Amino acid sequence: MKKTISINLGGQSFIIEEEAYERLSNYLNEIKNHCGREADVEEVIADIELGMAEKLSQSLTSYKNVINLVDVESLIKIMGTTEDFDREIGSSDDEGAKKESGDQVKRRLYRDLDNKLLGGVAAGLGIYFEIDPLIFRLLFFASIFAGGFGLALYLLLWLIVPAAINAHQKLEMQGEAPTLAAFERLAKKGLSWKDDWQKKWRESSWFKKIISLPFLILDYLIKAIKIIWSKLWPIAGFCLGLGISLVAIFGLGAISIASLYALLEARSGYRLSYIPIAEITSAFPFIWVLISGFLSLIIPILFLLFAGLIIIRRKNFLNFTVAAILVSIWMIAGVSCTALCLRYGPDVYNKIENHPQLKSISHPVAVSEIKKIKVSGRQFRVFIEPGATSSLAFVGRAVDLERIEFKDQDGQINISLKPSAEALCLNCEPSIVRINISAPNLNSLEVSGAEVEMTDGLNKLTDVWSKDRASVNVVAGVNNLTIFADNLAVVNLSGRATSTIFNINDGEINLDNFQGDTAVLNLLEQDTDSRISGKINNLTINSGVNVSAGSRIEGGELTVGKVILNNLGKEKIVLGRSDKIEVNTNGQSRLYYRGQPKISGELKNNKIVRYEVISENEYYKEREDNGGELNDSNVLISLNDNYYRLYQGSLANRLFREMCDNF
Amino acid sequence: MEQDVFQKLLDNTEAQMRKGVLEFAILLVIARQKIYANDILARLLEAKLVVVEGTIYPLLSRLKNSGLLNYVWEESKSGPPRKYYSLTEKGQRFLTACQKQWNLLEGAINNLKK
Repeated sequence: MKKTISINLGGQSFIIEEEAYERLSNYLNEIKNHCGREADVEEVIADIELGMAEKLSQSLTSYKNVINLVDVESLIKIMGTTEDFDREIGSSDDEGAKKESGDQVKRRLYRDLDNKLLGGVAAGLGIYFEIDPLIFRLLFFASIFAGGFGLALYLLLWLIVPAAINAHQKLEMQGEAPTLAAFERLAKKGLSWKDDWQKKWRESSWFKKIISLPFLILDYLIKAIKIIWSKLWPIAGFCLGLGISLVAIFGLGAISIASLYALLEARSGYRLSYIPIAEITSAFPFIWVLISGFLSLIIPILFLLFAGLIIIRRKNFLNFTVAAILVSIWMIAGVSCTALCLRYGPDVYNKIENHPQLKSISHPVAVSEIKKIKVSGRQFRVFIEPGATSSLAFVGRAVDLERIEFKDQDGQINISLKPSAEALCLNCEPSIVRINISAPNLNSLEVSGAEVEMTDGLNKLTDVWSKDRASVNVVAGVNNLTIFADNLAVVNLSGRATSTIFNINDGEINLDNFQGDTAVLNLLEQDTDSRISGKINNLTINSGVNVSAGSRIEGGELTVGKVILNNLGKEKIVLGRSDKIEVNTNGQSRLYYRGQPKISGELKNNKIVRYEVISENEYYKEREDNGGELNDSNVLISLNDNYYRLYQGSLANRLFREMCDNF
Repeated sequence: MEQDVFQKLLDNTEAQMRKGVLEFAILLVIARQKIYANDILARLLEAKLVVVEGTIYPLLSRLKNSGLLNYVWEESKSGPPRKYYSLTEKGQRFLTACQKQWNLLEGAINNLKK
């Protein structure tokens, strides 16, 4: 199937194939150029056209009523080329003829589609500079690795350099004058450029073949992808269109709901948030900001939706008028929204920043001598220092401070948060409230949910109870200390205490350089973690069999005098250096210990493994002594089942953990 | 190589000769009766004086502009109207002069051939 066009030649109308038309039109132009100095060139051309028309109409029948390239070629053969003209009648202008037969004009850069691999850029450059295009291909390919510069340049050239499509452009590309002879050469060549390419391939040297091979493969690959893509596109296009449409619909919904919410918030009597929106929005044309903002967001998404639907249905149903109206509305809305925001934005920001209810204020409370503090609420950040006298201050937004319930019963402080008073509030989560406390005589702390930090010097604090994801950092300095970590609470303990009781019930206790004389660790729940480091003279770990099953105590950095393990079941315990270990249990625990303590008691079903940490130097020395062979990964050396050696280095900490996990 | 040069020279001489008589031949064809381009061409092709047809059109145009020819449009039974050429009075004189010259040339060549 070929495209045809209808032409008027010598006063007759003909239907002609496009390529035949191009050939004919080029021919006539050529004659025109050639006879340019003839007195009446238009007349000559008209006469020639008339003659041609007569011949063409004779060659047409009712069955063959379209003129093709073959017809035109044979017609041109009959009419003769400009060279024939020169030979037979001479030119009226010899100088002009000479110039024409010179054949060389200025080259122009085109993309050569006949020899292209990708876009024909390299092929075009090759023709332009009369260099083998392979060199440009290699240069482009190499410069991809120089930060992608070549790729960008290639794409740019692909975009801006026109392709040589018609015969005129092809000749211009090769720097040939558009003479009839040139057109003829081109027509002959152009009909079979593939053969030409193959011929070139056969003629090229083996070296060039090897270099060209990847490009040739690339060429075939691209062609294959094109074919596959053309088969896949209907399905892929549908999926793409569906995806885009769904995203657009989701976006439309989200923006509509958000706008509706904003409208409700601004106009309803209810307070939906602590930000006093009704008060703020009354100060500027809120409704216009909302409408213009809504439109400037929704219209692009609408176009996205159209694009998705067009891809699915493969039919454009968006007409120009609708699109133009939408774009106009979008531009007006965008400009209005921007202008309004620029005009009123700073005012609104200042208003929110300086709103009395939202500003952070400090609110001191008069208290009696604080002995016990009970804090519950996730919003509280409590900072306790000894200070000289008892004092307490809340720092936070006024709106949050209003909700604090505070009781002081003879030194027993109780702090909690009331639920919001608003009937309908979607966004009334309180912000963080900081509580600064000075309490030199504090002896009991009960924390639920809140975070507590304290400084050194609270030397009367003997009871710490934490629960409900509370996080408490305790600096101890007393004789008898009891700590309870309940329900996912985390207690980090430092400082010193003569006698300590740790109760862990589904919480976590971490000792950080803790110095203790005697300590009792009671495991009250299964699967609890604690990390302990520091120094304790007498450590007793108590649990009921199976009650504490699966709990892990990581104490590789803990130095202990005497360790007593009572009634354990399935724990995994890593201890640091110790002098004495007493095992009063018949559970199935695993104990890793370091050094050479005296071990007594019933070992029965427990597995007790000694490990040693060696330095890097020691490690290498040991390896040398063994003839360079320590056939384990160079970190964990298992000398036998009951004796591990760990290579100490940057990995040491991780290894302790791995060891715990691998019990 | 030798052959090439010979052929080239021959082509050139032949072309020169044909070129010289082409205008004379056209005037002769037109002198017999008013005639349109395709018929002129048919006669010339028959006489093997032209190889390609396109050449005639610039020649006709040149002769017309020199005032040797003029033409009239006439309807044709098939297709568009045609230009029928005929000699002007000046063309007639030109043809006579040409004929005289041709006779001279013919005589001269025949003389030389003896």
